[in-house]
Amino acid sequence: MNEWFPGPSVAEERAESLQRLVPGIKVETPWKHYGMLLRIVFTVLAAIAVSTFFGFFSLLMMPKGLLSAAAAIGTAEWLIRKHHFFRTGIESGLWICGTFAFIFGLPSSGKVEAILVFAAAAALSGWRMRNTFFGVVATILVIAYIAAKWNHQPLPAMITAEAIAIAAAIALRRVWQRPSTEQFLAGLVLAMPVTGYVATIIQRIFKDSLPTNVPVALILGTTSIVLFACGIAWRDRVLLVSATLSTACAAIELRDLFDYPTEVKLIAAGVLVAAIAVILSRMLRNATHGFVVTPVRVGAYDEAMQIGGILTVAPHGAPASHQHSGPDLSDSAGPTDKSYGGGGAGGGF
Amino acid sequence: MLSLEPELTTLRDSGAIDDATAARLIAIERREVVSIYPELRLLTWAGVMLISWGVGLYISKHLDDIGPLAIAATIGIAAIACYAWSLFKRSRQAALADDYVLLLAALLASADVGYIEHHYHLLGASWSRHFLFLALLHAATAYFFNSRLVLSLSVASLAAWLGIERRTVDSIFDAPVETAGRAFLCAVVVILWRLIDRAVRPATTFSSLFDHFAANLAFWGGLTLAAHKETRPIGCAITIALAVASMLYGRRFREGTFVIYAWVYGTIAVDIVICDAIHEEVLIALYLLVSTIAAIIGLFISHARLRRLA
Repeated sequence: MNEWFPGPSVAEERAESLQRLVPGIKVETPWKHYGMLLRIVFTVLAAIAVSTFFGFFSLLMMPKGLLSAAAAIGTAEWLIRKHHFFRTGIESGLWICGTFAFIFGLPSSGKVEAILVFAAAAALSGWRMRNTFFGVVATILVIAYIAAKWNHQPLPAMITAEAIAIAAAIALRRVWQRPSTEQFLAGLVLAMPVTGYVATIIQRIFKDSLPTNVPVALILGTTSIVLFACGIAWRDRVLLVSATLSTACAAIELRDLFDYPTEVKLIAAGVLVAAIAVILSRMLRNATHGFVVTPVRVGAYDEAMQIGGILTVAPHGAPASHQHSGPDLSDSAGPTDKSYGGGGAGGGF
Repeated sequence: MLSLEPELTTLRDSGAIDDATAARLIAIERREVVSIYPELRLLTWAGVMLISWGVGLYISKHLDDIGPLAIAATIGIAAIACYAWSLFKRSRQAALADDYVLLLAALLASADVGYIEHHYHLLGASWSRHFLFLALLHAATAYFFNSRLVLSLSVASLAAWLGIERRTVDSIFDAPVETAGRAFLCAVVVILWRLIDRAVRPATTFSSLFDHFAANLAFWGGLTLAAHKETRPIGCAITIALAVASMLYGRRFREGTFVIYAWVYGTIAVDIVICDAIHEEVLIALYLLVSTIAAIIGLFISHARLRRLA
């Protein structure tokens, strides 16, 4: 980046991206970086370390926030400068937790503006670490602030989120040199419509009912059309995915307009979604130019997420009339298992 | 947008990649060819999940409204139709939705069998054996269609039959020995299954799925024992032993995830033992700080060694 804030140069970032595109090639880079799973594990461990450090100094009645921030950010910078850690999860976890620890150490005012302070901390960490996730979290916190500040009006948060999504989509059209900048903009395009909608849901969730808000649905629908049109015109998959998410949010918001039971709507939506996918795949199966459906390898994470989803969505329940009678274990002393779920089978659903 | 076309051109000119590969990758960079295959797969999966969710909700809400025979027959026919479609497509050109139609068939079959058993009590007191039936059905389907997604349902059904899947948090604390015993038993069955599968079908693609299920079941069994004061020492000892085994397995087969399991679960077990022995809050906080830093360094070194070996 520069001598004050060392990090991978543009060429080094691009070389790493090139290696992902062409796995066989050898790329020389001084920076240590890990895959997604290891990065998540290291980030969680770094967060635990900073939390215990914070707790330790809290018990000693010492300035916990300042000390935790100094230790965490100091260690992160030492790892970056001396050992060339970048995108290992350790240094980024230390950085963001350090800044958050500093804020937690400040006296609480109870004002909603505190959310903006956390947003600034996430933005600072995202900028220093060139971390897409932190940058997106910062923007999500800004939307959360708007929703909290104008907590009786869903439109400000919704409009801001969608404006950011569209602005980021337009910015994606520009040719960026740094892959991390492109990833940040893509992250905004994907996250903002859902964030804006979730913010409006949270605003309304504590009320007696959750009536349909047509303006919110209209904003989501308009954004969906814009993103979809841009996605088709620019052949950008991220915009198409974001448009799909916006459409799904709009459909959820308009659920009460269709006077059918929830289960019928779910089944109909499922059939519709699957049918769209099948029709598109059949339409494009002989295409060799533009949008195609050339099979690409499904990554291990994709499959793990799918399996996790299957095990979660598979119906489960606990019928009162049944007692578990699976193979008895000799040491069984406690209550028997009454769970009535597994592999999708169950009565309670 | 990001374009790596200049780098790809340089690689092509230097001979690092052949012309055909370079042309294909440059076309992708220029967005002349954009594959939406992953997105369509995800969309199909989401559709199947929504249908499965809706069917489950439908059954639970209409248990008494509609004739049970009508519900069972409708879902059964839908499941059979999906199985028939998968069978029909098996000998033809593979399509994007094939895997998910099969998955939908399996989910509908699970829901239907569960509903029939719930309503008609065909197995009486041995009601949970319908999970065993489902485990066998899904296993047969998974092998016939070579589907890892359906295999995951089979292992989940097996776990449910053994009485450990989706147990409530309370059961971990109320009956730790029983819960852990069932988890260990399930892990052993899955390992045996994996060994037989490997021996019978050397080209199997199911091994890693069995490995991850078995490892997590065993670790959770150990931690379940560790969560209870009376069984804490044995639970922690078992978890640490499993962590050592996981580390050795990870290093032997270059599986980074098992090294992560070893450090994460192992650290939790050691932390439980030591924090149980220390009663000073300050010392506990200090110990946790040291142990977490040790885990980070340990995982870092283990992973670096694994990379060197690879």
